[in-house]
Amino acid sequence: MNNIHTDDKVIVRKLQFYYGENLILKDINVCFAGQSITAITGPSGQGKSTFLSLFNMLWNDLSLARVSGDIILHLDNRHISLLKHELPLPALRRKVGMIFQEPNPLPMSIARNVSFPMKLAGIQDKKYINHKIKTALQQTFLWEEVKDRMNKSAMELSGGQKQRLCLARALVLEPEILLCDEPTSSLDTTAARVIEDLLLQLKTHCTILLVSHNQNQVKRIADRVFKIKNKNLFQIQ
Amino acid sequence: MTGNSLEKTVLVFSWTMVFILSSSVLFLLGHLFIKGIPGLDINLIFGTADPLQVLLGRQRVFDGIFAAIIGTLCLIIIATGIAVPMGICTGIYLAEYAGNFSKKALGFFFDILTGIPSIVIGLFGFSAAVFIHQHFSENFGPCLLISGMSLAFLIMPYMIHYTRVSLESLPIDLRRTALAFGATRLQNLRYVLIPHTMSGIVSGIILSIGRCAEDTAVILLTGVVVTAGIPTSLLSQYEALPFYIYYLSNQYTDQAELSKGYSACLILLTICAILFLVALIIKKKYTLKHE
Amino acid sequence: MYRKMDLSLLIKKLSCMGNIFRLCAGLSTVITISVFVFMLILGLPLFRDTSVLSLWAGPWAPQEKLYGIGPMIAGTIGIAGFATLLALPLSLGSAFVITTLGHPGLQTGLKAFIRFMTGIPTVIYGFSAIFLLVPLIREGLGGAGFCVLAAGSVLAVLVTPVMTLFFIDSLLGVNPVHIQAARALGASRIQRLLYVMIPQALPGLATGFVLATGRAIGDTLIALMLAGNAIIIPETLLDPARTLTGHIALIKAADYDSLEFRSIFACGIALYLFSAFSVIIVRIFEKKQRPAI
Repeated sequence: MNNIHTDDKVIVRKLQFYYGENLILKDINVCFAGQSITAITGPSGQGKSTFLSLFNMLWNDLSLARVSGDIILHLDNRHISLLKHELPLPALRRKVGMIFQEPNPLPMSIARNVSFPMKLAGIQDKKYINHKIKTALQQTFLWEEVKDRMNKSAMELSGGQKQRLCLARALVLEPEILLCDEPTSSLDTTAARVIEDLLLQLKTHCTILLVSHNQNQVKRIADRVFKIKNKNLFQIQ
Repeated sequence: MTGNSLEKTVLVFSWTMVFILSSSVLFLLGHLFIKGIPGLDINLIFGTADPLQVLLGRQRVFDGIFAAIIGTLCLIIIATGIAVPMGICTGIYLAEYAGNFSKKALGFFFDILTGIPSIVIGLFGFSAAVFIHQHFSENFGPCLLISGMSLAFLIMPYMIHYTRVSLESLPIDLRRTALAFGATRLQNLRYVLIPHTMSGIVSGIILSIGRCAEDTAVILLTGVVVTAGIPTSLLSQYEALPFYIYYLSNQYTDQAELSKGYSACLILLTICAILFLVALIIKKKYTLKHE
Repeated sequence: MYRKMDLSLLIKKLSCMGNIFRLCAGLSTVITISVFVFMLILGLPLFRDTSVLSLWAGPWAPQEKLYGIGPMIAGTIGIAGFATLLALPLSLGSAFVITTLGHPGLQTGLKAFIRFMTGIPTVIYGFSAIFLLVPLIREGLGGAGFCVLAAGSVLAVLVTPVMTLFFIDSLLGVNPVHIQAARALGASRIQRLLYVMIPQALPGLATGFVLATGRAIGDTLIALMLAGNAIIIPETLLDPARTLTGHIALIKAADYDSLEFRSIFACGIALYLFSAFSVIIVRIFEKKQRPAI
């Protein structure tokens, strides 16, 4: 795996995705650069979310799904092939974070939500945990709003706040890649803009893959834009 | 690392529990198979009598379980004959006709009926028999009819439940379609709803049959005896397979009789297993149809 | 005009099947209540003659005209209690493996096995255990072999499938969005189970436990065949005991008009109340589970 000489963060080769008998994605060969925002757009139902879920292997709970080809990620200064299972899934998902269209905080307190990834990773140092929680919430501009109610349930936050919480939670282990599946579709315009600004700020630390059907959003923040059409991926702009 | 050790403990614990459970069951059933299979032959059922003659009604069986099997069969017919129509009608009422308050109140009562221990139901049947004996007819006593009715009370809540759940789990669009075309509630039921829930209800019926076949507590109090031959009327006493097994466990006189008990267990187990599998298959066909 | 149509529809409804359905429902309710009433009436002579306390808690000594069903209540609590406590870890472990920890093929197979267990007749468990378990206890631990331990262990095996299936439904009923979130955060299977599924499924787990307890209390044959049926208050696991259910099954041979005989109606009432009570508790738990986000 070490004969790849490129700075690209994500490399996709000859990828095919089948769901049962149906071919969803056909022979995709593409590379995404690091430290930028790459947008994937196109009409709904074409497989954008499916494509995104390839990068943290979240698709593998679908019993009818089959994938061929390869996906290589440049993580920790190594090139790791996803489909050859070179990295255990829990470890992969700590390096590749994800936020969803519907904000999905867990039914726990705000503090526990943000510290949850650390608990899963086996981190126990309380001081470290509290420090990381604060940093992550500050990063997503949520700290001032919730610092007095860290032990209250996260389900009581507004839609925009929930999504920022999910973002903070996804960032707390400092992932190298962040997958965003239509993160602002369920938010009002103000909240959406806040998220967009956050993503712009994050791209220096993180490679961001963004699925969005909002053309204006894509124009505003994406560095490169791809479109899924006819089961294939084309670069535009 | 406490987090990790909790996770590891739960992991080890879960697998150990599964192991203990499966091995206990396999021990209990395996023991039965080993001791029971040798005794499985036609004599077990018909004893020393000629099977054909027995089936034609010309000979009685004295040392076989034929009468017990017939007794169990009669029980099943009577109990399901009463409980299935009543249970389905009540289930339909609850799912389709009842108002909110009735649903909750009736649902509560039927939950209680479901939870009543079978021996208490038997006690009720027994009390009813005694009541009739004392106030109406000296000749009346615990018998096939009383047992059948008591068993009906036992399985009725299950029929109500299966019917109600099958109807309520139909997709709401389906429930409303015929009504939107002007059908009455009854027509909707007859032409749309019931056909779609048939499999659920049928598998419920089969599970209830299984319950009748295996129950011992109810029949203990309502008329089952050790030797009665084939029941001649609804008011006569009768034999039943589960009771035969219970009686034998207490009162067996020699190894040969004991071995008969094991074989009888196997027969009962097979009957229940077949009923169970049939219900499962019917249910599976149902889910496939509606994928 | 609307009202008129409504009325004629109502009349039509009343004069046909709808009425039959209503009748059946009514009949079923009447039966449920009359079960209780009958026992009250028939147990009346006993209630008239003895004080409430000595009836329920007192000892059983017919020669001295003492008809307390206390020992039987103790027997029921002892055997059913032991069985349910034994069944709880067995059911939890099995439910954990079936919902998350096992390989998918194993999950289906195990669940089918547990389902199958619910169809096994009780009397068969009892029969097999008499000749397998009782001698084992007699030789290994002493005593007669017919004791609380024997009855309780087999009862636990009987009750575990019911509890396990209920636990499985509760665990799998947890909002899949939360499970998806945990997966995306890198939670392993056991982590998902421990930190997301179990906390969310607790009310359902409690319900399953209560239901299984009711089942254990209401069982007749296992205790009848395996517990020895001595009318004493069991003090250790190796003591024999008699349950309320067993008492009803055994006493029926006595003289019908005797007070001894009437005691079985007291048992019946106790059992009826136990089961009604557990139904009420289950309803309360289910109400608690409703507000799930």
